[in-house]
Amino acid sequence: MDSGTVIFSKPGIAMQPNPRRHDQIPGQLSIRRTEEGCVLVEWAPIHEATPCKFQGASDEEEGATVLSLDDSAPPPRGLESPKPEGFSCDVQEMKSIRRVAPTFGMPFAIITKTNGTNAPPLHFPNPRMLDAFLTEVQKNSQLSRAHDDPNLFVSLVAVVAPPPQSPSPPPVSVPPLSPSDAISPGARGFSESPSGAAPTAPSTPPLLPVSIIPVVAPTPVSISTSTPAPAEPPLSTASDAEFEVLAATEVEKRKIFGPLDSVQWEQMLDVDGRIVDLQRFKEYVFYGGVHPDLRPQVWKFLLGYYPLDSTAQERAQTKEEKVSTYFRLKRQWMSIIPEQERRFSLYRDRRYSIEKDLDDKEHQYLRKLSDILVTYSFYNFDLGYVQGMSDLLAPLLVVMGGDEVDAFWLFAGLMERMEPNFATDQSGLFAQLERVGSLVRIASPPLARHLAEVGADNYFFCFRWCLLHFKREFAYTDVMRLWEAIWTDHLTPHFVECCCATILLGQAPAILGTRMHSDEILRHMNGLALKLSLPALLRDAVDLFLRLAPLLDAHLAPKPEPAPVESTTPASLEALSPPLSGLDAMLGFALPAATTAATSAAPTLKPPSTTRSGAAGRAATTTPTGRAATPTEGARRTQRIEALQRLRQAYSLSPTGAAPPPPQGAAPAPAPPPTVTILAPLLPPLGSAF
Amino acid sequence: MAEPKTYSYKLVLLGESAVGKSSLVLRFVRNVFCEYQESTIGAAYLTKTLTLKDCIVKLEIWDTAGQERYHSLAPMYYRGAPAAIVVYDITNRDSFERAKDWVRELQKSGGVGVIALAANKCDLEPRRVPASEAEAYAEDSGCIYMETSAKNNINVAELFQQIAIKLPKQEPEPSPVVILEKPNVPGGSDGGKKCC
Repeated sequence: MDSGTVIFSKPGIAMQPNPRRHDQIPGQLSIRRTEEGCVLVEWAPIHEATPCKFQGASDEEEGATVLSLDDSAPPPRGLESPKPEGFSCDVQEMKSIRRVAPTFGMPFAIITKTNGTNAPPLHFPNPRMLDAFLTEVQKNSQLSRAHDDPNLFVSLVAVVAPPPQSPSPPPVSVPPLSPSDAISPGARGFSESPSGAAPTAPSTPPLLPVSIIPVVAPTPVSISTSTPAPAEPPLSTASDAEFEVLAATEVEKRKIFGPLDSVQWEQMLDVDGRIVDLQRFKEYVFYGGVHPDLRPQVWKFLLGYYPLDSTAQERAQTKEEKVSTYFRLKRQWMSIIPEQERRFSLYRDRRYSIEKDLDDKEHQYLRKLSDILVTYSFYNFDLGYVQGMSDLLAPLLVVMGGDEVDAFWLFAGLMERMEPNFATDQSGLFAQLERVGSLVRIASPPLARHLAEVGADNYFFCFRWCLLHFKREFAYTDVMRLWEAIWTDHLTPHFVECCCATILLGQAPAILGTRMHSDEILRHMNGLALKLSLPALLRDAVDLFLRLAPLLDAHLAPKPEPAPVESTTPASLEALSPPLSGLDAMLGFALPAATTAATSAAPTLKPPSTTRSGAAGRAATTTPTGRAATPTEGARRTQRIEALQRLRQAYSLSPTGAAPPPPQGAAPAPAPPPTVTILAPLLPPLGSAF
Repeated sequence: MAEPKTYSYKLVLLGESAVGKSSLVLRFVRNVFCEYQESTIGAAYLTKTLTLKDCIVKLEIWDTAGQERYHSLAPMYYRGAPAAIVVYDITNRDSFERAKDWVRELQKSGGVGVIALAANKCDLEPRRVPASEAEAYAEDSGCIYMETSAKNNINVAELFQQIAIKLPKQEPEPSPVVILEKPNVPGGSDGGKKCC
C-alpha cells in the first residue's frame, strides 16, 4: 500500500463524509506513484484527534488540526461511527475534479470518477494548497482545466468505466462505490473496508418509469409490494436515517394538522394575543390550511399586515394607522382635478391601463379593485401597474369581505414578495423558471432532455403559474388554500417552483409519450387549468421537495453559522434544506453521474445545446467520456440503468433500509418505524394523481 | 385526384393590451365571444385548420400578452413566424400608434412575411382612427387591412383566410418546430427554427 513514490502529501485536508452535514474528518491527502506506475490519490483519516475549532487558514503545515466547523453541536447518534477508512483513487479513473472556492468557508474539491460516482468533498485549509494539489494531479494525469470552466478539471482520455460491479475490475484496487454513492457519498462507501468485497449488485428494477418521483400513497404501503426481493445492501446510514425521520415527520404533519379554526387559533395566542409558537403556526397553515372564517385574521399575519410577534393591543393600533395611511394615499390621486389630469399623462395612462383590465365601473368589487390598484401605483410609483396584479388582488379583496383598506395592505405585502416578478426586467420570474428547470433536471433527466431538445427548456410554459401563483389554474377556494401554504415559507421559500416541477413531472408521460413540441407543451399546460387536484399537488410537491432536499443542500452556499442539530424539529430540516438558490451552480458536480450517464445513454437524441443549457448541460457536453467514446448499445443500456438506479436510490428515502434509530434528542415518542414506509418508493408516477 | 396538400404556419397576434387579440382568436377558433375576456398572461397557443381552394392550411396561432411590460417577450413569439396579425382598437388612437410600432418592429426583424392590420372593435363608437387613414397606412406598409369585430363576428374568418391565402405555399410537411428562445439570449438559434 505504501510502496512507490510519494508525489504530494499534506495533512490538514478534511473529508466531508456527508455533503448535507458540516462534519468533517481530518486526514492526510497524498498523491503516490506505485511501482506498477499507477498514480493514486489517497486520503486517510488521522485518528484519535480531539475535535476543536478550526484555527484558521495559516496553519497549513500543522495541518493536523481537526477541522470542525461546528463542535458545539454534538454529532447525531450514529454518525461518529464507524470511522471512515480513507479512500484511494487512480487518476486514470478520474473523470473530473471540480474546484470550489466559496466566498466564505474553505475551498474544497470534488472528484468524479469515470464510473460516475463522486468521492466525498475534500476540504483544504486554503486555496493555495488546493491549487498545489490540482497542479500535481494535472502533472501526473490526463486531467486538465476545462476550456469553459476554470474550476473544472476534466480527463482528456476517454475512458469508459466498467460498471462498479464489473467482473473485471481495473488493475488498481479501488474500493468500489455503490451506485448510491454517486449523489450522497456519505460515510457509506467508506464504512466498508477498502479491500472489502464489492457490494452486492443492486437488483435491476423491472421497469424504468418515466417519472422517478414516487408518490406518497394515500395509505401506508408495505415496501415489499413495491420492491420485490430487494437485493441491495441496507442503504441506511445514520445521516440518511436522520433525514428520513425528518422527512417522515414532515409527512406525518399533514395528518396531524387540519384547517386552522378559531378554537385552535385562540389557543395559539398568549394572554397578550401574541402567537406563542410561530413554527407551529406556520406548520398548521402549511399542512392544514386556514378555515375560511379565520382567513381575514390569519392572512394579515402571513402577508405582513401585522408583525408576527405583535400583541392584540399593538395590532389594534396598527389597524388604525393602516386605515388612515390608506386614505391618505388614495386622496393623492382622488384629488387630482381634470385640468391637472389633462397635463398628467403618466397618471392618465396608468389609470387607463388599470381600468381597461377592470372595465365595469358599475360593479362594486371591480371599482374597488381599480381604486386599490391606482392607489398602489401611487404607493409604489416606480413599479406601477402590471397585468396580472389584478389577478393577485381579487382573491385578497374577496377574503377580506370587500374591505378595501385591508385588501390594499395585504396586496402591498404580497407585492413585497412578488415585485421582482413584475419588475421591468422580470428578473424574479426568470429566476423562478430557472429553478423549476433545475428541479426537473434533477428529478427527471429524460423530461429535462426532451424539453431541451424541443427548445422548451426556458420553461416559459410555466410563466403564468409563476407570475400568478397558480391563480388561474385552480378554483378560488383552492387558490386561497395554496396561497396560504406558499406564504408560510415552510420547508422552502420556493414552494411555487416545487409545485411547477411537480405538475411537470406528472405530465411527463403525456409529454414524452407523444414527444410534444414546445408549442404543444404550452397548450397542454394552459389546458390543465381547473383540471388539477390541489390536495394531490400539495402532497406531491412536499414529497418532491423532501426527496430532492438532500441534493439541494448547496456546498456552494456554506452557512456561516451552521444550525445546531435539533433532532426532528422542522427547524433542523430547514437547516438541512436551504433555499434552492445556487442550485444550478452545484448541479455540475452534484449530479454529473446521473445526468451525463443518462445523456450519453440516448444516442438518437441530440445533447442539449451548450449555449442555452445550465450547468448540467455543460457537464454533459464537456464530459470526455461522452464525446470520444462510442459505447456499445449494451454499455449504454447498462449506463442508463445505473443512472436510473442511482437516481432512484438517491430520491427514495432508503426503501430497503432498516428502521432508522431515532435521532438524538427526539421527542420522547416511541421510535417511529412505521413512518418510514409513508414515503413508499416507486409508486405510480405523479400523473396518476391527477 | 390527389389529396390536397397541407401546410402549417405559425401566426402570432400582437398589439396593445385590451384591443381584442384573444377575442379575435377565440372567435376564429371556437366561435365564442366573452364580454369580460381576462388578460392574457404569458401566451396562449391554439390551432385551426382552414380548407382553401387547392390546399389545407393549418394555422398555429400564438396569442401574446399586450402590455408594454411584456414587450421584451414578444420576439420570442414572432421569431420564426411567417405571419402576424397586429391588432388595434378603433376607439383608441394610442392603440393604433402602438400597432404602427409593432408593424415597424416586425418589418425590421425581417422574418415575418405576411402582416395583417386588424382594426378591431369596429362595432364600437366613437371611432378615433379613421378607416381611410389606417387603410392608407396598411397599403403603404404592405399589410393586409381588415376592419373586424370579434364581438359581432365581422370579418374574423375573412381576416385569417386572407392571411392563409397570401402565405407562400412552399414549405413541405411536417411543419417546422418553433424554438422559443429566451429574450436577450445572445447566440440564440438563427431564425428560431429547427426541424424535427
